[in-house]
Amino acid sequence: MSAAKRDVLHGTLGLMILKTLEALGPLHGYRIARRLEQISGNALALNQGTLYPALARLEQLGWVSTKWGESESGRRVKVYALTRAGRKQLHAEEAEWRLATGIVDRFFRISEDVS
Amino acid sequence: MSRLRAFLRRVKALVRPGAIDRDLEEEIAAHLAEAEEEYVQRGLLPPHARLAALRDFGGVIRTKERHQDVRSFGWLEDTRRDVQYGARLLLRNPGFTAVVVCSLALGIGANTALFSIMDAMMLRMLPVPRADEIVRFTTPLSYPAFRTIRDRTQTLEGISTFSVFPASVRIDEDAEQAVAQMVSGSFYAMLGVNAAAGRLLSPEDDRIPGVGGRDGAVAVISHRYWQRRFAFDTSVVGRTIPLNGVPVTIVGVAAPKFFGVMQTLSPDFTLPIALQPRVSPSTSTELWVHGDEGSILTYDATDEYGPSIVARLKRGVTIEQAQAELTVLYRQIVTARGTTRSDDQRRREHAEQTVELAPAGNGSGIFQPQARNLLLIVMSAVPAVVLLIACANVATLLLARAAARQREVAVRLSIGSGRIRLIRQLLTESFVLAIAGGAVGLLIAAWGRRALLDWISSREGPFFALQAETDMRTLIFTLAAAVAATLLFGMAPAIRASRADLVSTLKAGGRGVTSLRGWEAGRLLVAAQVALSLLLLVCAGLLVRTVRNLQAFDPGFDRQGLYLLHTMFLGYKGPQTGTLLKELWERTSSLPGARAVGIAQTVPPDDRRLNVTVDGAVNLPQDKMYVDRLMVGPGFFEAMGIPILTGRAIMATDDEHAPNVCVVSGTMARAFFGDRSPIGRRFTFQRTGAEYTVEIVGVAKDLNRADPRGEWRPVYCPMLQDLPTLNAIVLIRANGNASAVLAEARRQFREVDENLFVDVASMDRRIEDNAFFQRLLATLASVFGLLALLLASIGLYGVMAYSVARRANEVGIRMALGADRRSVVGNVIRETMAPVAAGVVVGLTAAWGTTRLIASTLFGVTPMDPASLALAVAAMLTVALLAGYIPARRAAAVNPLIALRQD
Repeated sequence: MSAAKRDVLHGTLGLMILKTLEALGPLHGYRIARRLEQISGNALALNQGTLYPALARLEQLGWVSTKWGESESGRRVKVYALTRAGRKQLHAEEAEWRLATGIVDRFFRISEDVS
Repeated sequence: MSRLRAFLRRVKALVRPGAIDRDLEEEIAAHLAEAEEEYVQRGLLPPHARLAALRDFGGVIRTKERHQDVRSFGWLEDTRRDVQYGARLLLRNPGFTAVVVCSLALGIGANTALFSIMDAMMLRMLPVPRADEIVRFTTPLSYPAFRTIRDRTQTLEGISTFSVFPASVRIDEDAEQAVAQMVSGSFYAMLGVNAAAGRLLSPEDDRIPGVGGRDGAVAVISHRYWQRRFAFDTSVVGRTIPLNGVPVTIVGVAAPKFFGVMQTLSPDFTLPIALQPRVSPSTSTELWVHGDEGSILTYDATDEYGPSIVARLKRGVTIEQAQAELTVLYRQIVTARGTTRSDDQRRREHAEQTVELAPAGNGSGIFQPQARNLLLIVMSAVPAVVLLIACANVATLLLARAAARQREVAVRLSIGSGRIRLIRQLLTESFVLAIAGGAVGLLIAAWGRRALLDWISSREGPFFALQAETDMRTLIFTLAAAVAATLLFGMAPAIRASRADLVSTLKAGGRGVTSLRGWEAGRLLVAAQVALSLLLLVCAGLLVRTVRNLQAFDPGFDRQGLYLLHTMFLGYKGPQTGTLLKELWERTSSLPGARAVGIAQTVPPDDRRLNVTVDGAVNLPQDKMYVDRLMVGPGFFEAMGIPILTGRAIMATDDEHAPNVCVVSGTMARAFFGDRSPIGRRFTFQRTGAEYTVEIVGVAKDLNRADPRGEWRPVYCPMLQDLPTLNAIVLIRANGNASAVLAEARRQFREVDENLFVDVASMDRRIEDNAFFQRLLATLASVFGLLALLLASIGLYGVMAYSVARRANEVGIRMALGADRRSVVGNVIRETMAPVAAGVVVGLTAAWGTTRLIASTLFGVTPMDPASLALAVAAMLTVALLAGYIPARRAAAVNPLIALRQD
């Protein structure tokens, strides 16, 4: 799974969006997509379109809010921002995620030791 | 909390999908533009940049679809799409859709309209609390007996008299006719009716005979009358109006839905019965008989007959318990006053009598029980049959269509459509059809009800005031039946199709064996439709012929240019009516343009059958000793155009001072005297109380009458010798310009007395109205029969058209092998006629059983009238042939080459 662009792990896209919005503040869809690609060093293949259903779901859950704004180039775009509930959710999930990856990580280390 | 928010957003997305779609579109466009711009900055040429942006984005359509899934309820979105798809498909087949929707609509609409009317006439409960407790006395009580029972009963919550009578009121210039009733003061309170304006009657208003109460003579008007006559003018409360010559003050308006205790007769005015001596039409005992409500108005007397009586049972008391108690009370009353009665025998009869009650919660109609039952049968059976046919029609068409769509279904299944999803889509389609049919049906129901109501009301004069709303229960029931039928037959093919073996269906090109079952069901349904339609057509034929026979029937007098001016002497006493009558006759006789003028109390065919004893008559059995009496006045025979064969006619001098005389018909003379001359002979009317003997002074030419109650023996007695009279009819035979004469006659009436109303009708119209019941049935049967025929032929055509379309291939092969067009047409028609023939046989058998039910209504035709039968069968076969011929022609027009290459 090296050079091949890999699919976004199921369920993590929302988390990544929330984290991006926390780090960079309100962004429009294209910026979020580019940011995700940059962070992952283009290793992560995201059909940028998949972002929008995910954003719609986050908005439904009340974790992001939207309003119409302007992009850097002056286009009318929908700007997404993290809500208070979204921030709370992000922190909870972040902790859970670290816990989970920590455990998995330890398993891999043990396996390496054994081999 | 967040869940609720998510839900609300979904709902919003469902309700307003357009706005969200547009937003998303704009967002995606902006996204793509941004990406393109970035690629351009990095050095790509614009077209390449655009492609690169699209590649990065992935599928735009897919994004939109997933977006839709996320933002709303998946299944609802699916349903919306199914409905859209279904509607689009249906619109692409406008013929099929129109036929199904019309079938359903006619079935639902006709049923609902008819049942609403029937319900209003015979079944509906009175709009009062606990209407099932309301009972009517079928035993007549004298007013004193009524009062005693009212004071002593333990089983009745309340009891009230009611007595409907004709009234002449003067609201504006001219006197007009109105319906009034007299009730006990407790009437409204007992029923639980409220006032819409002012107040209702109370026992206080009914306290002093002839006066009323503290407020004097008062009246309550019905809500309907308030609307019709006063346009809801509130100032009407407190207004004083002369009613039968007595000034009465309107004190209030009854609740909107309350029309009285009889469904078909809603009194405009309600007065306390204490006013009876003053407002009662006349002092004679025999006044106004209405259906089975025969009521003779007497108030203070000890006569045995009083007004009708309604009562409310105490809670938990059954009719039988009340009857038992009342019978005991009644016998006590009769025994107690026995000594004051002269007629010993009558007293014994009374003592044996029991008080009988009948449920009156649904109001009792004007129809005689027999006519009522017949009407009930016809009005529920006929539309039910039409509904059946309509459902069968829809089923046939859906089955045929499903067979034709088998290939489509197979294709969709083979490219991965879920079965459940597919069935759901087919069901949605059926549902769309059913709802559309229901909506149109609702319109038809409303329109049909109004049309029927207008028609019925126009025929029966002002006393027939039927009110009916569209009956919601029926509407829901018929709608449910239609929807169920549609779904059922829409689903059967769906399930079958989804079970079909895909490969063989695709190979067979939709002509496979799997479709055979649907086809058989279709033919069966067609046969059933044909049978039912034929049944209705036969009945329609019989009834139409009956009406035509009645119309063409020669009554024995000249109907041309004959007009009846009807009035009633309301509020006049004794000999006064004779003076008025003479004056009216004298004034109208001298009108220019009136060829002949006469007066009468009743005109043929109305009469009164009375038993007689005749001096020197040939021997007749006791039950044959009757004559049919009409009360007529001077000028009657001339105006009617009835020749006097021997002797003289009734003249103005035949009044109360002259000896009692009579003119008899030829039939009467022959029946009693054979060949001997009847002139100068005497006979005596056997009437309880008032026997009287008359001398025969003339013989008139015979009349004919349509209804078969045995030999008709009219005798004509001078109405001036039987005063006071209530009804008076002035007969005018006009010379040319009738309207001028009639207008002048009206003026004369007004000049004689301003309280006299005039009701003008032509003799033709009157004869037409006499056949009202037959007309009603004939019209209903014809309309529905034709409807059924139409539906059946549409069903037949649908089945054959689909069958032919599906077998284009087979026909092509046959023709390629040398079959000529004629044999192809013959083949298809033979196939069409097979179920039709079966249907005709079944239909005729059913008709044989059914037409006996309406035998009593028929006139001049037998229940199995060959002409009616032949006509019905011929109509059915013609339409069936036509329905088969069109598809057959199409089949024969198949070009073998094209048909064979079709797949």
